[in-house]
Amino acid sequence: MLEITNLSKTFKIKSREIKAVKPYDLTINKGEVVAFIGPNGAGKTTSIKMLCGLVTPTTGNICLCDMTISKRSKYLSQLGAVLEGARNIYWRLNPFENMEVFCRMRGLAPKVYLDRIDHYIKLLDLEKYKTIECRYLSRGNQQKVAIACILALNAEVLLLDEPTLGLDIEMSHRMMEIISGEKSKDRIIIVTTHDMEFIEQTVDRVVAFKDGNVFFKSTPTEIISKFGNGDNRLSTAYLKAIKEETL
Amino acid sequence: MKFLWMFTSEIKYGLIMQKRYLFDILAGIVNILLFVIFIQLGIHSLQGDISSAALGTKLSSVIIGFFTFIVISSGIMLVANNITEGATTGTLEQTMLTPFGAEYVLLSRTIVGSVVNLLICLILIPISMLICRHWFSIDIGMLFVLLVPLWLSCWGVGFILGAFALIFKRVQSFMNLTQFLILSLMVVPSYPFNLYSLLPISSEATTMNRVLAVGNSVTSEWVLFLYLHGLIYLILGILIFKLGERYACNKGILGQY
Ligand SMILES: Nc1ncnc2c1ncn2[C@@H]1O[C@H](COP(=O)(O)OP(=O)(O)O)[C@@H](O)[C@H]1O
Ligand SMILES: [Mg+2]
Repeated sequence: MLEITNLSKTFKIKSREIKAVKPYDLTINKGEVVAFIGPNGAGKTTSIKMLCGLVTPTTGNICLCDMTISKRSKYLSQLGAVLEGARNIYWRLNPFENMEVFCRMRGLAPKVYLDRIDHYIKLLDLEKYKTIECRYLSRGNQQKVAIACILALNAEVLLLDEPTLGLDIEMSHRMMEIISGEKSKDRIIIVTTHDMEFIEQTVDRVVAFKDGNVFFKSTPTEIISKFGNGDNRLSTAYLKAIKEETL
Repeated sequence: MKFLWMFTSEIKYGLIMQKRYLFDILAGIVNILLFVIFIQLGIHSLQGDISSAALGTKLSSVIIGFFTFIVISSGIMLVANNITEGATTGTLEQTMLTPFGAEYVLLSRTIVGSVVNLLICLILIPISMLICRHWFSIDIGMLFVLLVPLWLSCWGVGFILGAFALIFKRVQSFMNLTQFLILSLMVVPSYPFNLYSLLPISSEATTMNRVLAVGNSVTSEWVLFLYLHGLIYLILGILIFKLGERYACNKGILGQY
């Protein structure tokens, strides 16, 4: 269980204060897939970075099964993250090598990770590219490698910030299939995305951000029934929800 | 044990990277050799003015000094470049997500890189002697004894520069200045002990030259001082890096370039 309490971040630039994330609580159970949605600048990335300890929260606490984030090393050994926009992987190494470096950097032994690497290379159709340096791969395949690297860690918590950014429809779809496939492994998956189809099919709960506020935490069906007005498309309901909600 | 898995993989991939960057390494070697050829031309042109014994010491100093300089600048840059490059590509964040912390991963990487650079230097020193037509014996045991504190000190400075890079971002032009800084540190009179001896790198580098090129002896107290001095700079560097990291996490500017 991942417990987020009173989490907030205020950036100070000179004398100006930017309330990037205003205090919110959230509890996510094992096996749950949660989507962070909201317009650009809403505070999703800042939230994700706080969850991996790359941004220090202004207030609040994060707790994973009684381990608080302040116990960095234990907490982090249970977490894998693909960050927004960054390469995340080593360009001069091939997919297999990247995955091995990631596993070893977490202190895993070969007998623990070799089968998993094999499994994910097959699952993510990276077999052909296994021995090609990642700098030569397409953006989509690079992103796949980044995800494969953290899947191979077998971490309890997966954080994926805009994993489909810059990918074509086909590749985005495949990416979402892969993430769906990881559901039910008793993991906690948090993904920021605007892929409504994916959200409807796979996501258990949607956490919507706007101007740093979390203005609802509901299941996709709840959103449709509350805001849909008879229209059963999630995107329509969601658009209406952000327009109406003025917290 | 966990640490060992990480460390051995850094050795493996450190070597793989070296192989992939083979061209850059060869270019670096050619650069170094060209440089040696030019200095020896310069020094041999002095030949008429000084005694051959003095010339010999001078040549030894130049060769040792030059390789000390390479060890220093590559030691600093291994750390600093790893940090800045990692921050621009997003791999630094991934090292920060390891249970060990970025500093241990970076340090492992640096140790591997430094050893490889040392091996290259060990091959290039005799070649340089050949080019200079000046042979002198180097006390290899002493070389290793003195190299360790020099490394520690350089890595510490690398971490400090890396911390600056995390905080101030645009440090590339500043990094270019480090060459001059290193050269100054190498000639500062830091022996016997005085205030200059407290500067980073300087005591280690000047001792290297005094012992290996000039042939002076060195007391064990002084060696002990060098080890302490190097270790303190490394620890100081890591602490400052951690502070830089904390600052960047607070401001949310890790990896923003
Ligand atoms: N390091 C930073 N310093 C100052 N403001 C920041 C920083 N990072 C993000 N912000 C601001 O915080 C807000 C939330 O940003 P972000 O979390 O990146 O949003 P999202 O990922 O939802 O698009 C934005 O207004 C952004 O400008
Ligand atoms: Mg974002």
